[in-house]
Amino acid sequence: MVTLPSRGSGSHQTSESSRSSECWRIPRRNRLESLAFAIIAIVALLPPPSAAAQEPKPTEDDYYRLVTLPLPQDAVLEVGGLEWLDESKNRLLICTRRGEVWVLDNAYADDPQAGLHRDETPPDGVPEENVVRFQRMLFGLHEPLGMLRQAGASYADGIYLAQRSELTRINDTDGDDRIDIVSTVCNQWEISGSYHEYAFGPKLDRQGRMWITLNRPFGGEPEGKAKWRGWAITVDKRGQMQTQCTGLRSPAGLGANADGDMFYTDNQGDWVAVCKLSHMKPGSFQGNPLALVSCDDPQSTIKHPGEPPSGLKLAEAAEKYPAFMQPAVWFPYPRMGKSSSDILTDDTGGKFGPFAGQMFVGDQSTSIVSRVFLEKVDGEYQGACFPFRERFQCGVMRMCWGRDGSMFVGQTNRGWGSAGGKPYGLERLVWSGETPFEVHQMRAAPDGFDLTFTMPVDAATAGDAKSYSMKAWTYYYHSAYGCPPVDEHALEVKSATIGDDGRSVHLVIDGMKRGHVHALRLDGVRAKSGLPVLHPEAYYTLNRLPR
Amino acid sequence: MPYRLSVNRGSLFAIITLLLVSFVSFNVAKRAAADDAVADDAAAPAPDGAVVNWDGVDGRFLLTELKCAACHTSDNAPLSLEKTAPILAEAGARITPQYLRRFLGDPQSVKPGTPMPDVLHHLGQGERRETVELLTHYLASLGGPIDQRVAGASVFQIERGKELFHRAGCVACHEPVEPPPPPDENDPAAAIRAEIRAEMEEGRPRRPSVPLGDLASKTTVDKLTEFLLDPLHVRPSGRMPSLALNRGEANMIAAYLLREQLTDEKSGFGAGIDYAYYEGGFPKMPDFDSLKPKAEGSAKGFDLNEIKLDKGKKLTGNFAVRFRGLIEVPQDGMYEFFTRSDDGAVLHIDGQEVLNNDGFHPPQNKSGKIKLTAGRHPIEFGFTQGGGGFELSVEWKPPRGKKEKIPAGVLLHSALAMVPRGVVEFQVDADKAERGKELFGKLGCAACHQTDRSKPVDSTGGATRGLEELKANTAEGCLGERVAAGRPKYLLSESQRTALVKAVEESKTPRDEAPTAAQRVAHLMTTFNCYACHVRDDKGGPEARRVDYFTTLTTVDLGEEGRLAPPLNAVGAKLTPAGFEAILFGAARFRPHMATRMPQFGKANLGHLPELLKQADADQIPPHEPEFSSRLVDDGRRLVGKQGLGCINCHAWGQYKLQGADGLDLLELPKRLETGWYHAFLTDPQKLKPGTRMPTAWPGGKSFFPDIQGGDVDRQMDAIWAYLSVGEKGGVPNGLSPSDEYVLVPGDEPIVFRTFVGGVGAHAIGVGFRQRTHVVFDALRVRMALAWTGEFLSAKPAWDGRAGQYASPSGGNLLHFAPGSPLAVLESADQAWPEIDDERRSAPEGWRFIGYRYDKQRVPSFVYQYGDVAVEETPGTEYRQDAAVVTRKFRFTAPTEVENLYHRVAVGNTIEQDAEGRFVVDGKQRYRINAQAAAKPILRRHDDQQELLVPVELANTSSGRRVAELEIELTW
Repeated sequence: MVTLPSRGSGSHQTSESSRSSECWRIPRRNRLESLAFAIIAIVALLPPPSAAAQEPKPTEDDYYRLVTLPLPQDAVLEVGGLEWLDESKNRLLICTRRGEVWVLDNAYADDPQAGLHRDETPPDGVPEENVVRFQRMLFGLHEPLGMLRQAGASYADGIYLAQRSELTRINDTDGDDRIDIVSTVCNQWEISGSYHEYAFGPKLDRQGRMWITLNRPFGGEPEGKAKWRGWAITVDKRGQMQTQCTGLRSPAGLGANADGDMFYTDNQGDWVAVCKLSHMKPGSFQGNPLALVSCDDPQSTIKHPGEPPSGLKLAEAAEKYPAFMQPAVWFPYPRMGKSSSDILTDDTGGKFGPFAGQMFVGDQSTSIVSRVFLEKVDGEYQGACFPFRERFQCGVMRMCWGRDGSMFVGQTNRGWGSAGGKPYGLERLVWSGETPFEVHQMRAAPDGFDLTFTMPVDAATAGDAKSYSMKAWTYYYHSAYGCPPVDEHALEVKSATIGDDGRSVHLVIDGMKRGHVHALRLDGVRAKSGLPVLHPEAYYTLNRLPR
Repeated sequence: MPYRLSVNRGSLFAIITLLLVSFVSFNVAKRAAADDAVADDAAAPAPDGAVVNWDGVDGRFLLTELKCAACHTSDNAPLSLEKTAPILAEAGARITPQYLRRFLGDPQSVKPGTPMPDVLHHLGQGERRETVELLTHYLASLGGPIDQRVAGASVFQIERGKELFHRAGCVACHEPVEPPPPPDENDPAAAIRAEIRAEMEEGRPRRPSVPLGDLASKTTVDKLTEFLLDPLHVRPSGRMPSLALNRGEANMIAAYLLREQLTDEKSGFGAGIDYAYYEGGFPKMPDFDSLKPKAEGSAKGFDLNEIKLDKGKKLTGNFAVRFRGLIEVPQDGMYEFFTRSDDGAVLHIDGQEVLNNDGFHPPQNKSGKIKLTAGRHPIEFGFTQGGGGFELSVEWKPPRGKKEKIPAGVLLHSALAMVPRGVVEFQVDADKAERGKELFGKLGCAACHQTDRSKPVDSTGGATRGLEELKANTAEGCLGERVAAGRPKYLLSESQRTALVKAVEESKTPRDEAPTAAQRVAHLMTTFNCYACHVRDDKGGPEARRVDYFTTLTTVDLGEEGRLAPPLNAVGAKLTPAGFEAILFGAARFRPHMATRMPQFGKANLGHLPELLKQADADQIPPHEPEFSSRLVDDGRRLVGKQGLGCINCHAWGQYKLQGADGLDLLELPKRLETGWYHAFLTDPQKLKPGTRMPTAWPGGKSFFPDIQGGDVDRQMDAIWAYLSVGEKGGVPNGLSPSDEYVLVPGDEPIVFRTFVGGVGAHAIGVGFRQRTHVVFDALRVRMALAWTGEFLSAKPAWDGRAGQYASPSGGNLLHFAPGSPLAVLESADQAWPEIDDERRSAPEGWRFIGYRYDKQRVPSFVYQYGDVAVEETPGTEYRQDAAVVTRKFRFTAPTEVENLYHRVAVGNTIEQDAEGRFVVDGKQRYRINAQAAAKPILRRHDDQQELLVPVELANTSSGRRVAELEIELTW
């Protein structure tokens, strides 16, 4: 039974603080990969570096600690969207898959011990400063999966969110923290009533347009019968819809990069080899042809590119079917995720660590957040992804930045299970202030890759080609569900040259191939301080070779 | 602290003591029993007279029950009721010739206690045999002779029949066979109560039981089943009432009563398979052993068409069936089984799973193999149906055989052959039948027995002297020592004879005054043996030796109140006419925990009882007219819930109840109970129903809730009544919850819930009110779409798993608002209302949905635009005792005048105005229209349909905008 308003009786969840101080672990990966990497690692580590080997290896927890926010007993916080109610980011808004909107106070509590409704008394011994306060502002929306306050707009101007059937603005006109007005901004996309017809967003681009990605249906009505399923659209200030991209499959995450260009993530499936991050270049076709039926509509800004050929390897597809927008980054499955979700660009100006301007991408299934570095080659985005943080309590769905540069991470596992064992929740990822030793950037070069590191490198190990190893593989662009690595092979790292700044390395690689994911291991590399690389791996999607 | 009804161990003892004391005042069963344990008696002694009813030694009743009036009319016996002898119109079809021969030859020794007189007593043996033979041929010719071929009944049927016979109420009148269930070990007072009862009955004769006679030779299982299903068909006088059995139950009791027909020949297995039918949604094959079947029987094979449900009901909805029996295979080898099923099918043989096609799915083929040795093997086949159509076919392929339907005889079940005792070869001899018919008239049989349903009883064959003219105690009269030829000879005890003589004498003096209503009630209760179960005014109640057959179906913490029939003191002031109707003629079971059922005596027999009771009990309870208001409804809900008086701790509320709360359903109360009785009972439960577990909620006349209705006790009682009187619309009381945890239950604030709704679409917005009346707005087509009452929407389709499923209004009373858009500009009076394309996935041309806003009470108003006209529509409802209500308040605003603007209120086959000016659509929905005077509703006909339109007359306002308001109240 669900009764409104109802609430728990003052019980609370104890904080599950960061799971620190465990010994170093090999990141989870499939067994074959583990074996392969282990052998490489052993080879690379011989002879072991003198001092560092004796020290316990640093862990993610040492740099980025997780704070779990306790919830009121009756709050089923299956997070669909995160946003700040105020410009100064004091009050956190959450919309849930159950269609509620909550506002949280004291979300930054350093040691939160209880999540309570506003009128509940904290349990004995829990000071108010350790209590996160929850207020339900609204109930009854239809699975909103994103939330947005227009930049510079105040709370009174309304919050936008995408429900399954429409873009909606909600307003609390009297400031009592309950929504009074629910306005339909745009309902020009169609919906047939399939469970898979989610709408994600909105997110703003640099022109202030609201972007929404529309999932395609599964089963029920003939797939794709409803218009604009599998499209990315924008909605202008008058509530008019413009079509932007087509060929999306299950586009659970979207967001702008530092330059305001829009990207989205897609989930592995038909025509999507593995999860990916792709630039939503206006007019682009992202690969899934189910969406193309809507090209015939007068509102379509995209001409039908012709039915895609199925079964081409990526490089071949790029030549024979150039309409297919090759993703900027493939996320190798399952190491880098199985169900990509939100995109969050680091605009914290360094408050979150050394990765300003880079992107973070969540994953619902594996409960991880990855890091993405992009560059433009021949005017198109491509780049690398790196493991960043794992072991969230539940599938990562949404992320947003706090005022202190910490990352709030909203979670759900419903419908598609996730690692971590919790059904839903909210965590906050806080940088310790210590810089981890990581590959900072990875750029393609005509003869190899240019790496920069987050701190000066140890000349002996970083300058030794044997500290590195590389493999490459491609995927098929095909109608079948997903794709294993194809044509996987090892590449020779011919040389490693340290740059003048002492923190960059130029790698010369033999046999780099377009349309291939290039997987780099850096197990032998040490920082000048002796630290190993926290995540000694990187996956570069080489669509184009720079000239 | 809230006052609660729950009972702790200490107070339990107090209640038991109270019960004991109350039994003294009940004066239970003044009749006595020499001993009270039937278990110790092998068989009850044969009655020494006719067994008629409660007062078997009262001459006035004997006159009726023995049908003296068939020959002796009287004007002075106003109390007497018509009694009809069994109708013999189909006698031959249900009574065996061997029984007819025996019974007609000597009714009173074949069926000791029968009120049937011996009319052949004067004949010599030879002539007597000849007469019996002719009568037998005649009666056998009436629809017969009966088919005495082998019938089958499984042991489990007989076992269940035994249980039903002893628990459903049969043994209140008929002789029990088995000892009663042992007293509850946990009830320390049981032994004391038994002692008290025995003491009270000491020295009184045991009440005779109504004889069953030699049923085993009289009829067959099938015919007895038919009889038990509707005893009044054969015996319209209702002395043998219906227990409202379903077919399976009747069949089981019949099999039990005829258990002597069981043959022990062969192994007791016959062709066929037993089935048990279960209702409910079973996504997976259920654990059948934990379920209670709704119907049981046997079929020739795994054939759903052979499943027989009550009242010829067809298989429908969600259900499961378990077939069980043996499979007999001719040779060793591999046997393959094939099923095509929609939905689940699981086959076990020898306890091994042979094939499994469980779960809901479209028709699917599945096969499985098993190695069997020649001989018999237990077989069990489960089938489930959930949603959509269903089908089932089962085939097999024996070793070296072909795939085929499983042949008859391969499937066996534990059906035992049941054959009437003493079967004789019998053919109706038309000549003998004709002569028998003549005798039937001549001997006076026709004076009592109808043989043709289209013709009334012909009493001309009997004597016709009036009762007043009789000399009752002549030696050769009906009551004499030697009954003369041509007169019926009854089985009468000495006391019955004396009583009859006295009654005949009394009938010679005209009665001064008509009997009172109370006397007539007592007379009815005697005639129909109501006193065998009920106490009224210190009379009646079960005999000590029978009282322990009154049991509960489940463990119920209600003591004797839970298992014994309620006392009928002041019942005329207690039950409403509807309450009487339901319990007397509707087979309602207000006390579902009680194993004993209220017998149904037929309206023809007891139709006047409620009115008599009302007269008899008129001044027993002062009347009380409760007030009614919305406020009282809300306060009542608070009082009933767990934070109030906690009524729900013991009582069910409609479909909701707490574990173990076996008290009566609160929602039934306003239908059943008179308000005066309700008020008096709540004021002092023990006074009206001594020993009841119902506590006083206002001890000392004080309320625990001074803040509700100012603490006024009477007003608080009125509040509870007001709340219960609006039924489910009053809202689930605090503390109870629906079984579907996802069901959204509106509290003080309405719930607005957007989801996919079946029949509305993907843009539906539900609004649920605590008054349990709800609407759905279609934001795509921009129109109010649905209204219904009861449960609001379940969030399960939207919240469970990947969700995105369609919700459907789960309550009842579903109403679709007029199709199309709510507004249109019509250029002329005969322009058709514009239609909207339901396939279209965007708003109709000219329409825009803008959203909704909440007021301070969180009631949403839908805002939308039609051309230049802005509309704000606010749905609402209120508590109403007699109907569901939805109000729609519209506010129209436009910058300029809009001419010829109409709102379409309703469409129907007929629309008429009632006396209150409301428009009645198809006799069901009533619309009250509140608009400006200028906006006169218009009724018009279009395409065989009537339409109700209201003009929207926009009026100038000071702001320059034009505004109109409209309120429509719909009750249905």
